[in-house]
Amino acid sequence: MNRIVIIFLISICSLIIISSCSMKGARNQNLVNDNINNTSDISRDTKYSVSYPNVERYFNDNSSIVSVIRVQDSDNTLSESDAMQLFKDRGFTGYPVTTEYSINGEFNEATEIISSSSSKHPIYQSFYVNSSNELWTILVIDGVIMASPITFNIQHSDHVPVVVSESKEIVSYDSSTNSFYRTIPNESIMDVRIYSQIDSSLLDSLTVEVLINA
Amino acid sequence: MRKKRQLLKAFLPVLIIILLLNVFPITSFADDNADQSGIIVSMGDSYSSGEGVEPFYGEDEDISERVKNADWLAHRSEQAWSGQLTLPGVGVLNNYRYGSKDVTDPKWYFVASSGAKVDDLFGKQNKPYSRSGYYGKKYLPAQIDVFDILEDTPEYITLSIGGNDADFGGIIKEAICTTYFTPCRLSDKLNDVWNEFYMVGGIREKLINAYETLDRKTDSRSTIIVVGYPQLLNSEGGLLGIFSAEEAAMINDSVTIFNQAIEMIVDECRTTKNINIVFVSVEEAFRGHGAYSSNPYIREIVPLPQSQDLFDHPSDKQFVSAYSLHPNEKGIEAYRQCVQNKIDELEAVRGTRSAENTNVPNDATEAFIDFLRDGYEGADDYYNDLPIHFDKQNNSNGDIWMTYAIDDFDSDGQKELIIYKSFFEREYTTDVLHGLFFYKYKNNSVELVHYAYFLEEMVLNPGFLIFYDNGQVYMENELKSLTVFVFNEKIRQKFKLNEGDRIIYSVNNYDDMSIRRSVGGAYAYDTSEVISNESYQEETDFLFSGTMLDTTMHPVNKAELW
Repeated sequence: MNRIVIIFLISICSLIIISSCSMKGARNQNLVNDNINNTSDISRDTKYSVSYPNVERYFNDNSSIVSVIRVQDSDNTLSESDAMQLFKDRGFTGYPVTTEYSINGEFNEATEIISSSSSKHPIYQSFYVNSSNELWTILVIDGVIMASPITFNIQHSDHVPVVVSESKEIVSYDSSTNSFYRTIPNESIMDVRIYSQIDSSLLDSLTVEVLINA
Repeated sequence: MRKKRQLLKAFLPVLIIILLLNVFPITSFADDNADQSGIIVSMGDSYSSGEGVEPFYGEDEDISERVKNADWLAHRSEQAWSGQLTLPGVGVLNNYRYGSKDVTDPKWYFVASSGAKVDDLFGKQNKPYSRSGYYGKKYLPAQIDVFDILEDTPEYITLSIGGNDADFGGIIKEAICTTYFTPCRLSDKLNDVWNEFYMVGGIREKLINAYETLDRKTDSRSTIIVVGYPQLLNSEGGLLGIFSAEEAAMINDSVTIFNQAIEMIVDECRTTKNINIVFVSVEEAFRGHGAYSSNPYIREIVPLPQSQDLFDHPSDKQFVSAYSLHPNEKGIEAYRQCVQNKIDELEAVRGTRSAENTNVPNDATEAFIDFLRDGYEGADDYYNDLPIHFDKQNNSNGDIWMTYAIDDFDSDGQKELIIYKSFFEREYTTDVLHGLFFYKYKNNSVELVHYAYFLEEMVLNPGFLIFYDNGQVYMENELKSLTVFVFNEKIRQKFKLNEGDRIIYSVNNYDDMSIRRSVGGAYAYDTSEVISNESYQEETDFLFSGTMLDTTMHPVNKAELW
């Protein structure tokens, strides 16, 4: 019991002392901290930039390449007007359709496209939330529509991502060469589900259970 | 006689302390504290607000009120690291939050807001919401407006900002959606961010302007602590469906470079613009603990809105929870420790200068020791012949440290164990109870900084030195855990302890406030997860292997000792 008393009393007294006698030194009027390490990886005059992946190698490693075509040589690239109509016809009207690339391959912040524009872009993107509250992204690349269940893929990130397509061929866009790649992805990189037509009705039917069991 | 002896034992320290207070009156500290407000302002973005770690202030309110509550809209967490900082003489800040009902003398002004960009420090932040049928948008006040309500100059301003300007969220979005469709998109996005960083009026200039503006809002007594960002992702494996390993590395590298750029700006502001500003990196503390690692300090991507998200349905603007890729509880603790270390370091520097300025007389400690000895010996003649040890040492910061050790209260004349060697190289011996006090002498005053008791079991199971956490008194039946100083490297290695780990000595049995002799187990916690549970029975001398710094009564900062 004596220990309780000792500890209690000394603790209380310590608190009193500490609370009443707490002190700090006078202010450092002009603090100079020597502990900050300068880094040499980036300097004021050296602008950092990120290198680009070797896309050809990437697709060689992960797919069978069907064809590669420069954007300017493709006849399938849609104008903003055509893309808007495509998304509308498929029932994807709830979210803006955006693009980030010019026809020359320049990257910009995502810009909402307008139905009156005849400007062409290599890739368009929109989103769709189906009746199960699952978020999908809808992509149109070189005029080909594809969809990817974002929520599902994140939740099942230990498996290869699911992609819904109207063909076994997937179209990709390489901005570093401003080219389209048509490929058949390896099963180890992508789980391609093929349906005759991608539209809102289809995506509504593709619940988590369906995607898992398909 | 025995009863009398016990009673005297109990009141002896009290008497000593009371006498101490008479000799070193409290009023002598008044002037020294006059320019010290004890105020911290916590500004910035989600990495300061505590995004993702519930509860958030205001979340208990009905949704109709919640959507009007700036704290909730900003996702200011009750667990935010900034609120868990301690200042000497103040204690834990979240007990002093401005705006809390019971706080009459606020010390912590918490205005950080999830999603904030640099511009939101100086202008209103738009916070749209759509939850449970309530939707709209509310403009949060400019964070800098907080300076209009401060009653005194803040000592510190903590700030994490720039991440949203660099569009971390957008970068993640690029990475998780479309890798196969657009393999270069992440590179394009990152390069776009870096162009934005360097351009005229870009992120870099915004940050400089922000630091300058904050400096103008304060005076030289305030230190701006700019806090960096952690690498977000496990860089070793990537995540099959979301990130490739290359993408994860690319994102992490950009965070590192971004931190370096911020640090360089901070450095430049301090050296060329004379701004009292420092940078705190958290990268090392998070290394190996990115999202999707085996022991993550950062939340993984949370695909669906959570209970306190501002949106209860996914959208193109926010298709994952705002909680995603923000520090979890472990990450919060890592942040806290990094910033606390910096504050402690700054306080130590300030203390040194203070001590230098006060011209502490050489004989000050001698006078104190004499007084303490007189008080002790004057308490009761019976104890005059019991050993009491005093010692002093100047540490590297110039503080004068004194120890006062009570030895052999219940001496039976046998020195059974060597408990430890102090940094004074003095061996203290005991068989039952041993008290040790650490005092600091500065500004003509004495401060009791740490105190410890070696109970019987501590003697028999050496390896620990227990400090009663913040002087808290544990009553009978409440003795569940205590904060422990681990002193030597051997123990650290044995329990695989790392910087920042919280060590808890769990007491399995207790009886009349004594820890039973049978208890010899130690639990090493990494915040909350038990990483080691071993019996420790070796009899090893304790060693101070480092120099004791100007610490406050916070749980142990091991770096100060090792």
